[in-house]
Formats: sequence, C-alpha cells, structure tokens
Amino acid sequence: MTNTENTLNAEKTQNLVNLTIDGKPVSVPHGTSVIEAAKKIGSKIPHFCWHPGLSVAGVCRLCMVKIEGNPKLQIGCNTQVTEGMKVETKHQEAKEAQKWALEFHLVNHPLDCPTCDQAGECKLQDYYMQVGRYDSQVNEEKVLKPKALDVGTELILDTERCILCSRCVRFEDQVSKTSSLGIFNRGDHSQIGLIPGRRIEHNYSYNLVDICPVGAFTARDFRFKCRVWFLEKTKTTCPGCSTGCSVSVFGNKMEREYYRLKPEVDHEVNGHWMCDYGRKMYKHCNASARQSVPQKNGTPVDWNRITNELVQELTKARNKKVALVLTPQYTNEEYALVLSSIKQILGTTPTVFIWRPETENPTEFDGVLFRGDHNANTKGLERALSQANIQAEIIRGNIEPLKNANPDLTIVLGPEIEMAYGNIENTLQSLSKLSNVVYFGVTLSDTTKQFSLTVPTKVFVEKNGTYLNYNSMPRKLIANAPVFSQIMGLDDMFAAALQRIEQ
Amino acid sequence: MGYFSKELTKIIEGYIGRFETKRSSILPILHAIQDEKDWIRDEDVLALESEFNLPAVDVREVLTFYTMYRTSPVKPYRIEICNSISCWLRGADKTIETLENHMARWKQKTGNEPPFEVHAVACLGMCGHAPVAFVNKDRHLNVTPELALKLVEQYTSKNLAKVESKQETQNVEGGH
Ligand code: SF4
Ligand code: SF4
Ligand code: FES
Ligand code: FES
Repeated sequence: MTNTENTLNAEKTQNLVNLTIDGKPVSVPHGTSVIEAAKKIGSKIPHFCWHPGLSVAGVCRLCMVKIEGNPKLQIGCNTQVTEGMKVETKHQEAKEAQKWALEFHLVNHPLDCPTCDQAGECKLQDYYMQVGRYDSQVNEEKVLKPKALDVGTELILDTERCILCSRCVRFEDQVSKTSSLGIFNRGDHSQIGLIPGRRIEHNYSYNLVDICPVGAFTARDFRFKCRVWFLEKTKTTCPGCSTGCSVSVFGNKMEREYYRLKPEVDHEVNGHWMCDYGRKMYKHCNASARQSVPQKNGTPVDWNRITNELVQELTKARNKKVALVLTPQYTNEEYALVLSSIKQILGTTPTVFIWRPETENPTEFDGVLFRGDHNANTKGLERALSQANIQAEIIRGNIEPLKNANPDLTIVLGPEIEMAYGNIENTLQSLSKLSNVVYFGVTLSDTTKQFSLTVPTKVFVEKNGTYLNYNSMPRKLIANAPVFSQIMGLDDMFAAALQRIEQ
Repeated sequence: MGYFSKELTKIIEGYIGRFETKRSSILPILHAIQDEKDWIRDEDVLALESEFNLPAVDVREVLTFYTMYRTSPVKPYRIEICNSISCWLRGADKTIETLENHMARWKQKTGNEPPFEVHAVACLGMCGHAPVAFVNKDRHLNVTPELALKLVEQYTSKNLAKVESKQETQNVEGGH
C-alpha cells in the first residue's frame, strides 16, 4: 500500500493533527508528512525523490523546511506532522539550503537543456528557476557517464542527466516488482543502471518516464518529436481496456496532432499509473490513421449530405429486415441514442449483434491495471441492450449468424481501436458480401468502398460521454476539438436524422 | 552441480542464514568469492541470483560501491602500499611513484604488461615501520623506493605457481 493510500485510510479512522504552515492553519491525519500537509494548502515544497505513489527515500535533500524550535532544518518528506508544529517553507534558511542542494545536483549534470527532451517539464529546470543560485561557482570538471542507452522497447536512458533520486529504482521494486534498476558505483561516479545485457520490458515501463523528474528516462515514442510547451492536455478516460484509467491526452492544437497519454491520479481506479498498451491510444486519433470523409459506394460524400443519406437508407428499410452490429467501444450515450433513434425511424427493433474480437481472454487481469477485455465499454453495451430489452447474439470473425438473418440493411458500428480486434480485414470482407451495409468507424481499409455508406466516426478524445468499466463504474470522457473540423459525431447525425423524420 | 565450488557454496549458505535479511549477507559473500577466485565476475553475480535468490542488482550495487572488491583479472603480484598519514609523511608517495614509473618502463622495454600491479591503500596498522606494503599476503616494512624496486625484482624472478592467464571480458566498472 502506498503512503497516500495509508493516509487516506487513516483519514477515516484517526484524529486530525493541527499545525500551521507558512502562517496558515491546516489539519491533517496523524502520520501525514510535512510535504503532504503543505501540498494541501498549496505551499509547494521543491522535491525530487518524494513521490506520493512510492515509499519515502529522503535522498535528494531538496525539501528542506524550517520548523520552529528545531535547531536544524528538516526534510519535509520524511518529517511527520505533530500537534502545534509551526512550519515555514519559504524561510530564508530553507531557501538557502535548497539553493545549495540544487547546486550539488548540477555539479555533474550536463547543461545542455536546449537539446534535452525533458526541457519544459524538468523539475531540475523548474526548481533552479525557483530557488537556484543562478551564478554557478563550480570549477570542477564534470564526470561523464553513458548516454542515450537503449534500455527497453519504450525507454531511452541518459545516465548523465540522472540526479540519483532513486524514484525509478523504487518503482521497479514496489510497483512493477521487476527490480531491474540499481545505483552502481559511489560518490559522484554513482550511476543508475541495469545488469549488463538486461532490459526493462514490462507493460508499465513508460511510468518511469513520468516519475523521473529530469531527462534521464525519456520515451522512445515521444522524444524529440514535439516540445512540451506546444502541447495541451485533455483529461479523459483511456479506452484501451475495461479498467478505464484516468488519463490526459496531449495534443498540439496548431498541428491537430496527438503525441502521448499520461496517467491522471485517480485513487479509485489507477492510482498514479497507467500501462504501456494504454499509452498507444493516441495513434489512432491522428489524421493519418483514420478515414476523414464519408463515402457512398466508394465515392466521397460531403458531410452536410450525410444526414440525408442516412435517413434515406433507413426509411428504405422500413418494414424490411434490419440488422445492427455493435462493438463495445462506444459510449453509453451513443448506444442509447442509436438504439432509440433507429427504432423510432424504423418503427421496429432491429436484430442486434455484438461484434467482439476473434480471439480474446476478457476475464484475464495482470494484477496491476491491465485487463484482458480490450474494449472500454463491454459493461455499458450490456446495460444499454438490457435496458432496451434486446437479446443480442455475439459474433467473432465469422459472421455466419448475421448472414443467416438475411438482412436487407446492416448497420455496423465498427471498432474505434482496431488493434484490439487483431485483423478486422476478414470481417470487413465478409460484411461487404452482404446486400446493403452502412458502416461507421475509423478504418482505412479499402474494403469499405464496397459498402453503401461508410461514415467516419469521432474517436474517444473527441467525445463527451461515459463508459462503464469492468466494475460498472462510470468513466467520463471529455471532448477535445476534433481533428477533422467538419466531422459529425453519431450523436449529431442520429439527432439530425430523427429531426428530419419528424418534420 | 552448482556454479560455485562445494566449499564456497557452503560458506555462502552459511552467510545467507546468518542475518535478518538476505541482503545483509552480500558483503561477506562477495569477500568469500574474491578470496577463492581472486576477482569477481559478472557470472558470479548472476549465479548468486539464480542459485541463491540474491537479486543481481542488489549484488552489483554493493560490488561496485566498494573499491576493494576486484572486478577485473588480477596480476600475479599485487603490491599494496599504505599512503595514510604516517606512511605518507615518510615518503609513501615517492615509493608509489617509483613503482608506477617502473611499470611504465617495463611495458616500454618488453612490450608486455608487467606481472604486478600497484595500489595505494589505507592504514595497515604498522605505522611504526612506515612506509608499509603488502605483496600479495607478505608484509614488508620500511619500503623505500629502493626496497620497492628490489622487492619487485625478487618476486618477479621467482618461478610462479600457475596463475590464471585467461583474459576474461568484463564490463563492471571498478569505481574509483
Ligand atoms: S533515472 Fe530519473 S528517476 Fe531514476 S534515479 Fe535518476 S533522476 Fe531519479
Ligand atoms: S490498464 Fe487499460 S485503461 Fe488503464 S492505461 Fe492500460 S489499457 Fe488503458
Ligand atoms: S523529497 Fe525530501 S529528501 Fe528528496
Ligand atoms: S599509516 Fe601506513 S601503516 Fe598506518
């Protein structure tokens, strides 16, 4: 159990301790550290090695605070609050100590921030701006260490930039339980590293990049692609599996390009972490990976004609056999709207099929976060169908049951994250043999040219709505502006279609 | 058959059971390995992990922290000269310098590595006879530069017991 969880549990059962920090009164549970208490009232104490999701190491000596009655400064991360304590985080003495601590951290640190990928979100840079000495007095030559080491599929390591905070070592020991990192040699030759020939290969390795306060661990997937100050984040939910971790998606507004995902702290679901599979969830959102314009029998159709086309297809199918194929990757709201509007337009309920990955192991769980159900909203789809009183048949790869229903019109809500389905080409091929198919999805496959209508869909980061995770807990999606400015969501399209019918 | 010799295995097992945490046994275990094998190889570290469940990273952390563990092949004669305060005052640095120059000349003249190595070490507890030196496990007192050169001559002309000649690749850095 992490410290924060400890504190959270403590909050429920134990008495509060009252103290003042920078003159402000604050009450926190017994056992809270000064650094956590200060955070509560917005006093930010500079720190490298302390991390709320890991054990306390107390090695960077940056988080110095002045405590009344104490002859010496104390480290805020490893000092517990006591009743009546008076803490000053901005005391001249504390600032002086932080200044010198930073100076020592920089003795052997390369001073080439312009070529470092961490610049802009580097704690060493940030704190130096805040409490540094500015005019360095260091004459000693720097100790040089290995750089740009290939230490894992996701990771590049620059041991020279490392400030030896040991966060990564503790992460490997306590969270991923792989214990692959150590600090070798000693003194100013100390070096973060692995046993020669070994690598960091597990599904949580990208978290090392997040917790490393400097540019020592960088992500192979992200480094040198974009300066971080060009990125804006959208807080939302990862669509990678049925866990539904809280994440931020980082995109460059001007380029309309997404670059990465990072976890958001969420004690109920993912704590401080997310998995490496989830980190890929930006790729399918970018323009080059998805279909941009609707097609009618293979020829592009303008977006403002799409509602018409949809209404036409649906009204033609009145009193005929209609099949609806759903995948568990849409939002609760989309399912409800699509089911109700199709029923309203047709006057009858269509035959519903659930299209799931050909091979999957949905009950699998890795014990940390990642679940074998690589669909974000399996539970939401189940609930939407049962609320609409619909029994649906599951199809995987083989669409025989759908064929046997012999539908005159088949509406497919294809997967957004096709990776979860392995290869969907075979299924698309078989669908194209049906008489009349309207396909919603992101796929770039040419097979969609054979469908009556193919409509690109929004991706998760462009939608507002909810998923239900494996535990039926609602997980919120928050929309960012879409990559294709004209794109219509399912909600817009079906709402417009309904209106058209009612007129 | 285990990786280590029967005797060494027994020693290692003894240390592992002796302390509250397994990690605490790393220091004496490494000494035991060094005593038997002269220097500690990457393979030894890996074997401690696979056979005794001591995490290789932990072992390597300890191994590289202390400079008295040897992580590269040793030469037949290891000359350790004390350069702590008493020996230093009585000219230990001169002795060390003389030997280092002698090594360089040896290399130049013969084109071969000399069969000895020179290390400055901390107080050997015989300050009354400073400067003090060890050649392998033999103690020598009042080691002036002249005596040092004589010692080298005496030792290197001896017929050596067969020493390990295999040059093994190693990538552990030996600290400083
Ligand atoms: S690599 Fe980063 S996280 Fe690890 S010890 Fe160095 S600075 Fe800390
Ligand atoms: S565990 Fe699932 S929801 Fe969490 S980051 Fe990984 S793929 Fe995304
Ligand atoms: S954060 Fe307290 S010593 Fe590093
Ligand atoms: S100082 Fe050299 S033996 Fe003590």
